[in-house]
Amino acid sequence: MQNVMKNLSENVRRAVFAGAPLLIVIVLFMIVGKFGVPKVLELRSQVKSAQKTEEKLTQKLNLLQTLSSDVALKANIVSSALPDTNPALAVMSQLKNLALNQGVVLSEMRSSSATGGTGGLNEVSISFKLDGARPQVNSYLAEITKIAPITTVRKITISETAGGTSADIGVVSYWADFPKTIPAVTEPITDFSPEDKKILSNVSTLIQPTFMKIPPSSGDINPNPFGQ
Amino acid sequence: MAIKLNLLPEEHAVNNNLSSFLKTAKALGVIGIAAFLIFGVGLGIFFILSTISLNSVNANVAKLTSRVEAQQKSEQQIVLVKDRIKKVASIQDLPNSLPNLKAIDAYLVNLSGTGSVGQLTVDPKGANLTLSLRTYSDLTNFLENIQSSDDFGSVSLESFSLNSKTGYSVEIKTTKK
Repeated sequence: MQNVMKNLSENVRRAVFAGAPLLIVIVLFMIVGKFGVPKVLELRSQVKSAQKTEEKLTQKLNLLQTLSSDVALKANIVSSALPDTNPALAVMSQLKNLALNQGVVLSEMRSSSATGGTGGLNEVSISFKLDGARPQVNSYLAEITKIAPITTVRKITISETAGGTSADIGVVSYWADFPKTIPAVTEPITDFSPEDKKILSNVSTLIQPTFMKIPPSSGDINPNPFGQ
Repeated sequence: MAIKLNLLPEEHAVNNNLSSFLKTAKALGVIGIAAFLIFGVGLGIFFILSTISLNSVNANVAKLTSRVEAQQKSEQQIVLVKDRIKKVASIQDLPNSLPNLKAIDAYLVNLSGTGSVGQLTVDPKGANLTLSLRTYSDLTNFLENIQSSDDFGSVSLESFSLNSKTGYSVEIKTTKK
């Protein structure tokens, strides 16, 4: 190497010695630009992404803490209004109670097989006959919209005779499977919108079904029911 | 007057053009090294600060995640309530006969004494009504009222008959507005 340098002319030697630091700096800039800068940029993007996640989680936690106080009650109310199983029995019980309250005679009640509706909703049709005075029949029909599980009137055939009003009514009630998954932890959740609150408010006024709890029969328990 | 002396041997003499280039190259080299040092140190500091910031944010995210997971039951209930609300809203759009009954009933209430309803069939699309009216003026009044109302999409007289004992018997069909 030294021989090569000695053989070079003085001009070239000086140019090489003067240009070398500049060349080295340029190479160093290129190496750092190639590997160091992307690494730092990647780190910044990770920080930004983590900060966004942090922000989402903070909002989600605040919302969960705010809503958790009464969400259990709301869940019970909406589950009663739209259950996850066929509500035919509960609806029939409600319709009978309603008939007692409205002073009409309910008969020939029958439920048809359930059908799958749109948007995950299942429907069950219930038909029955009502006898009574016309205002009571009308009042009964209006009250059907106020019972839980949610029931809508599909068909009404009213016949009026001298003895009063007889009506054949067809109603439909609904149920739907409960959601099976919840969003990922980092997925944001939103508060209830004004429309949601309005529906919740309407649903919360529905008349809840009352079920009679049958206590176990009293008496001595046979300790050996299969014995001699 | 000062005399410029050049004691260097002939072969060591540097070309004037090259001399100015060498000065520029040396100056640029020094500036480049200084700039690289500043850039490198700055980048290093930025890297260290970013790493510290990332670790701190990640630790906070882990803490928040565990707190959110502790509220999972509430989240499940919120998801359930929102799902039910969405479905209840869709039920509200499903066919319902009550609005049609309410619309036609408003005209039947005024009938008392002038006529009687034979049969009224109401479905979500409209209503079909069989009606007996005693006099011609009762009939025309009723038809005028129901036809001039804005409560129905259409009102049509399906059949019409006259019985000397019971009066006029009409069948009217209305459709939802």
